[in-house]
Amino acid sequence: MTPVGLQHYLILAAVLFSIGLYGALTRRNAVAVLMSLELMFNSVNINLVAFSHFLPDFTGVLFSIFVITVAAAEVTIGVAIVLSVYRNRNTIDLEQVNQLQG
Amino acid sequence: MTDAVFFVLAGVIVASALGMVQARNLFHAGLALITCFLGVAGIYVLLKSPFIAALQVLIYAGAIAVILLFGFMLTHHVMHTDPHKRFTQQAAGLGAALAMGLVLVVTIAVSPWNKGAQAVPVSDLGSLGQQLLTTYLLPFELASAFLLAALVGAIMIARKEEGPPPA
Repeated sequence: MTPVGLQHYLILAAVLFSIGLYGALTRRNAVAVLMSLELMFNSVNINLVAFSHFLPDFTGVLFSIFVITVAAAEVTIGVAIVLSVYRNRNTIDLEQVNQLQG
Repeated sequence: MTDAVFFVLAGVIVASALGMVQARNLFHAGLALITCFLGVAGIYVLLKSPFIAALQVLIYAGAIAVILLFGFMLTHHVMHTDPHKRFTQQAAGLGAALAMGLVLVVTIAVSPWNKGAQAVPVSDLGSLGQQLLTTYLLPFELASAFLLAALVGAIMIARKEEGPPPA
């Protein structure tokens, strides 16, 4: 068996990304969709840090810091929007939030 | 030894991620999400980036998970559990995710990665901070303005409207 290298980390990240994608596409609760998005952010960060470690180059680690910053802002705004939808429509079921549907 | 730790962590991450997307009770999903975040922090330790691991524990497992659980608790009496989507939508989502994963994994497996270069630890905190305040100074400062904008925006979006605004 080959020792753990870059490929192993990339495959782990790819699997995690797919699981997050599945969650984001199939959940109906808006908060659950936000949780799935966080899984996808995490897999991207694993990729960045793994490349940074195996190249070796700093840039990936620095990028992951900025990705974490953006993820924090994204989840704050996301939960604020969910709360606003909940207050105005009294539901957070994404199947029922369809006013913009043509 | 490191390899064994990697496979244990990978197992924990994948299992808790699957548990998160499958759990109908969102509180259980949140707990599985925190487990997954902690596993990813372990991966960062294996990759010799203890600073990112600390950020992961503080920001993801701390702040982001708490915000998501707040969001769940403030809305849970309209949607305590998560009903399933229609079967066709479920199947389409599963198909899209499987196709995406398959393409990614096959691409990674067949690509010729540079296996010769042995990893050396590069991410010591001193030079990380130096880079952040020299080469990446502009994005660093923009990030602070961005976070402030996000904070104010979140308060404005989520606050309760109370009557007409004072003239």
